[in-house]
Amino acid sequence: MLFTGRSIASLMERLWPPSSRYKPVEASGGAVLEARSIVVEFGGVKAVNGASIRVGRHEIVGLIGPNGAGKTTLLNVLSGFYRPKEGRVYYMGRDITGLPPHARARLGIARTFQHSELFKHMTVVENIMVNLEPWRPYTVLDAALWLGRARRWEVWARERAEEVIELLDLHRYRDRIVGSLPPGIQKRVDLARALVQEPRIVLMDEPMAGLSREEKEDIARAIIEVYETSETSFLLVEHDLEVVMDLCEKVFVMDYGRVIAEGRPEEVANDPRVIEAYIGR
Amino acid sequence: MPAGVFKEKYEELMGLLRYPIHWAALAAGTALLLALPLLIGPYYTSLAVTLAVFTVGAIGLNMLTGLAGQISLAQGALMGVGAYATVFIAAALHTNIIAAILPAAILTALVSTLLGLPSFRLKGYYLAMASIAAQMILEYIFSVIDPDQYTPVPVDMKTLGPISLAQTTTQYYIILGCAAIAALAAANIGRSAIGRAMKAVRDNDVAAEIIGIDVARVKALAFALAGFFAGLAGGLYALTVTGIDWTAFTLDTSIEYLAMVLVGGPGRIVWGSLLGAMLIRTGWSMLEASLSDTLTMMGLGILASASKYIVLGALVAAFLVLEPEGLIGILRRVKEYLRLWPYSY
Repeated sequence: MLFTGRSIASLMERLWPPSSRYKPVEASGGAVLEARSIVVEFGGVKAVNGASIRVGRHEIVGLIGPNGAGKTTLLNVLSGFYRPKEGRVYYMGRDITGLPPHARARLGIARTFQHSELFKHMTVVENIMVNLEPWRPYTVLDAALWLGRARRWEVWARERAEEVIELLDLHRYRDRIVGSLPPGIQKRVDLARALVQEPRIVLMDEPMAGLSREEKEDIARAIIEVYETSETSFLLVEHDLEVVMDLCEKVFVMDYGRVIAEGRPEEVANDPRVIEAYIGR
Repeated sequence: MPAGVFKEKYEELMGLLRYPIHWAALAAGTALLLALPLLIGPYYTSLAVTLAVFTVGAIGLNMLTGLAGQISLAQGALMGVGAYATVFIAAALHTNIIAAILPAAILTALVSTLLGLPSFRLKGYYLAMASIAAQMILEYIFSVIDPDQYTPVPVDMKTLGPISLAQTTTQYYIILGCAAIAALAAANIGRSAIGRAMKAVRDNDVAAEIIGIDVARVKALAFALAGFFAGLAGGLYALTVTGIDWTAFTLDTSIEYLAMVLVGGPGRIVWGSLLGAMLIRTGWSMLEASLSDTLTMMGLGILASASKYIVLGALVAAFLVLEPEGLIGILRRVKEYLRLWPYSY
């Protein structure tokens, strides 16, 4: 199964001792990822204006809102791609606001994209395996001479990739060049790419956008399977409300850069502010 | 009896020699290369030596440009750094050239990493311009170090213990061995996680950063590797000449290196570089000579002196437009055709 074998999480702890790079403080009350009063400005336009969200351990959380509400911008702040003007981001109780994106990925924050951001000229299995590179334990010299350490790790990485390929049913496409695959398969590869890192939290930017019903079901099934068999949390930015209602235990609604409502999906759906934001008064 | 070759372990699947035909080709190729000096005579042996030297340099640039996607027009100058460093280190430590090659290559890798620093901020054309600047700076430094354009490589440096390496044949075997080891190392790096990280940076550097790859470090590593191989090529080059002349490491050489990569097959670090080096080093001069003769015959003698650049430019442009995968792409299609022959599908 997916989460047996050598755990990436333990590798991660070894690579990132809690004393280095990021400051340990702030009792988090069990939140995996938390953003507090985030403000992001693009040339005077406040894309995100004081939004706070919180994803607990082992939760599937939805982030919805009309177009231009600042959902993707907030996600980019969480993954480290934008630096917020104000506000802090906490991961496992530690302030990670200043960490670059690649360091966050190493800590266990994985991310998928709305539009395909795969490595077009690489095969599916390479696309998945490259996500383990941050945990590569060997040096260039080991690789050049193909010493035991490099060889064993490569085999291990390939086995990990095959587990995720199994989970997302990508066998047939294993050695295909990603750029030539249909968008539905590419979305699955994108998810596989995030899951192979065995992250604590997966940030998903519209995982269902542009997919057929069956493709949506495939993705949803994979999310549920990972959720049921591990401690992983998910944060879904999604337009398909049906998907959000089915998958998420908790939903944040954004409008004009603020979080206007949060709670259980069925509560939020009946919230007058939410109806107003979506439909207008 | 299985109908084909099936792998039962991932390790076998990742091997460089996966099929029986690979082993057969390796054996035949080794035998041919070892017997080559006896078969082709001294002139062509020295040509083979030059080809091997340039293949090593092209492998370095192919890792940088083909794998990591960073254009560099300073590979020629870096080869020069390797050549000078090898001779100076050998002279300073009173050792033979072979012993000095490795430290010189490491020094070149450091220089190359330094020259690669602009790549953290620059892409595409701008990075190419920055690397031309690096090339020019290095050329200037060479002209200060070596104003006579001649730094002799004494014969007593060209030894390996009791063996003299002044003969072309002995040089051939030594350089062939070094080139083979370098190519194997490059192939191993290419199939490792490091190679995949480089390809990720080439294909989509933003996504590479997001998934946890330290893009700046990967770029620095790619430049270091390109420099290491350039230094290695320079050191081997020093072994083959009686004196080093820095005009062998000008922008022309760098462009030639880039042409080898683009024509051979960017991203196919060993075979692409080898085929590119072969075509550019041999085919180029043949085409150049025939074009130059034709132009002179047509009364366009004034253009004949430029025929070198016309041919190189046309070759690179033709490959970029018609066959972006380079000679390797053509070979693959031929192989596919032969595999399916006589049926077309």
